[in-house]
Amino acid sequence: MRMSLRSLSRRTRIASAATVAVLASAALIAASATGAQGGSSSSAGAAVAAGDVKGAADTIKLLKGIPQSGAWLGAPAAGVQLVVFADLQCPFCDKFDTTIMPTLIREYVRPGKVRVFFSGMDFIGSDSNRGLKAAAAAADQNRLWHVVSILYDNQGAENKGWLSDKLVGNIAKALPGLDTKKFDKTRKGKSIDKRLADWKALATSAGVTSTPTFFVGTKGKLGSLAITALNLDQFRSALNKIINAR
Amino acid sequence: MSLRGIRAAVGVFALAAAGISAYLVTVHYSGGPIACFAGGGCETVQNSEYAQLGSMPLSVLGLAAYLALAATAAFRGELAALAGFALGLSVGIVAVYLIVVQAAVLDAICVWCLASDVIALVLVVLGVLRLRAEPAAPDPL
Repeated sequence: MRMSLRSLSRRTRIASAATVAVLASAALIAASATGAQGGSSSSAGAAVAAGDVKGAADTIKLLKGIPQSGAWLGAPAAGVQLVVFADLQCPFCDKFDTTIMPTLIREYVRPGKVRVFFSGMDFIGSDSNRGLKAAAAAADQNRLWHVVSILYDNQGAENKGWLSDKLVGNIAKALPGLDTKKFDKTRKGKSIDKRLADWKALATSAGVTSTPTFFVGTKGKLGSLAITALNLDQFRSALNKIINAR
Repeated sequence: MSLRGIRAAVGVFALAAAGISAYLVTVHYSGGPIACFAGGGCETVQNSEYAQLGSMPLSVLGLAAYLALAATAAFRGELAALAGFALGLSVGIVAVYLIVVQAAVLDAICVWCLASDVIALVLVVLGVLRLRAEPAAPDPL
């Protein structure tokens, strides 16, 4: 009897230790996974499957696990910065985003070598403004690059209504970790004008008059990147030169 | 393996993993390049959101856990064995999660992280072996 009581007591102690271990590790894993998903969950309306919005599934996969902070994409410690001035309706911006940016993300951003900043412009028309407000609202939840990339995947003719509220809403619903209620409230509210004004001021101070325009360099030492054609090798060459010089 | 041998093994493996974690912490805060072998996925993994817990790198937690594990090896008795078992199991479960994230989500392997993860799994086994070898505490009844 004495032996079995001792045995039971020991088993209980071991079980308690195991329970504590499992709970602690589960909490840590949950915190890590939640952080990687953006820290919140979709809360309004029915979720839209990523496969139902053109480009959403690929974009989610491409950006998975890469830190975003406001309009920044990439690790804060990255030594080289690339600033992209773009209009969401501009065809060459679309070409850059769909043909060059994915490679830059895989080769430079994901490994933590380069951090990219999106500075939006809306000079093409009201659709640009609607998209820009959506991008800015997503930036508040660190999902700007998802929205921008998916919008480019769905780009249509300028000012023909492709960049609709419905498209923006569907993109939001397809993004894991985006609070859609908060997103809608932000993009339709007055506070969003502040970020758009900041982007406009940045473009003005940098003398940007057309899109896409690029600036590249190290923190605080950015210079205009003269691109003669949207060619991946030009970007690789410019980035490698700065990375190797550090 | 004797109890003394198991405790020594726990200490050695935990300190080895603590050394790896300390290296990753140093690289994170210094912003320097990470030495990577076998393909070079270290930067990708270390710069991912999965390597962070809020603003703190996971390697800081790993360092603390492995040092605590090493400390349990320095003490005799069931309490130290239980603490070592619980810590080992915790880091072991997290290690499995991190291996899955590297392989299935990030599609990149950080050899430092992988080495630390494998050690964590070894520490789970050693924790169980130590519990079996350690004499039970006196019966409370």
